[in-house]
Amino acid sequence: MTATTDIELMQQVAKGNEAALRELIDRYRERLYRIAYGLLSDHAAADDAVQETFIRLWTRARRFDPRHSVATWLYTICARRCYDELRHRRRHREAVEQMEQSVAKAGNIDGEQILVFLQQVVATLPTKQRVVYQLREIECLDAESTAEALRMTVDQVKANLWNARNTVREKLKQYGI
Amino acid sequence: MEYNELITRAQQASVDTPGTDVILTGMRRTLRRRQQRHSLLLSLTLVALVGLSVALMQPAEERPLTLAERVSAQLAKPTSKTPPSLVGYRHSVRNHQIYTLI
Repeated sequence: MTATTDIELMQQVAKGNEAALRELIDRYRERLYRIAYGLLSDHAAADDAVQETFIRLWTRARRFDPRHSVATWLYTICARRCYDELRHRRRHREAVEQMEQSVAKAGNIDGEQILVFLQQVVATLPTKQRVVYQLREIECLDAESTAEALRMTVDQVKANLWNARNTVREKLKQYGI
Repeated sequence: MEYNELITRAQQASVDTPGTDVILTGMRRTLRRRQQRHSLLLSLTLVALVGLSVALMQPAEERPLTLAERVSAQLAKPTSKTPPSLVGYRHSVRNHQIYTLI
């Protein structure tokens, strides 16, 4: 398929064009998977979240408002789904234990382990802070889009990000990173 | 390692992502399963509706009376002839009417 804008692809998807859907999946699957995995820390759950996001894309393409960005629309669907799942899980204690075990096992964390450790630290954050941190700090989504995706105000996004950054920095320092 | 450096590395880190074909196959399977569930539900609803309408279309003398019809028939009779099994029900119906009025 020739280079086409996201909006044009969405218009094709709305008409039932599967090649356009395939192209959009190609463009966004990696980024969506990073968001989902970053939030859920579980490959199977991340697979489900990404698949569900594309199912929504396929079934609701006609409702898409072309004044918005396709990327933000997809991130919003994916983030909301992960956010809902996280609210039901309440695995906070489990996440903290996993992080502590990781430090105890590795002794001195370095290289790729640091990233795994960072992910584990992020997993210990309260749900709102965790989602905001992942979208703003790791995926570099702007504050307005993050607020829209999570049905928050921009000020709430900023406050959650500020708290999350402080907690992450503190924990990293605590474990000598 | 500086915090900012760590975040940059996290932003650039690659993850094992399922391929487009895998996602498409999963989507098709899920959509098919949902479609089947939806059709089954629709069929069951239709069968239930047809059954209900057939039952209601039968003349009253050919079909057994419904509970509501039996109760109202009993309530219409003089109190002394009310069978003992329906006395409590009749009272509760009256009480309900009274409470509703209150």
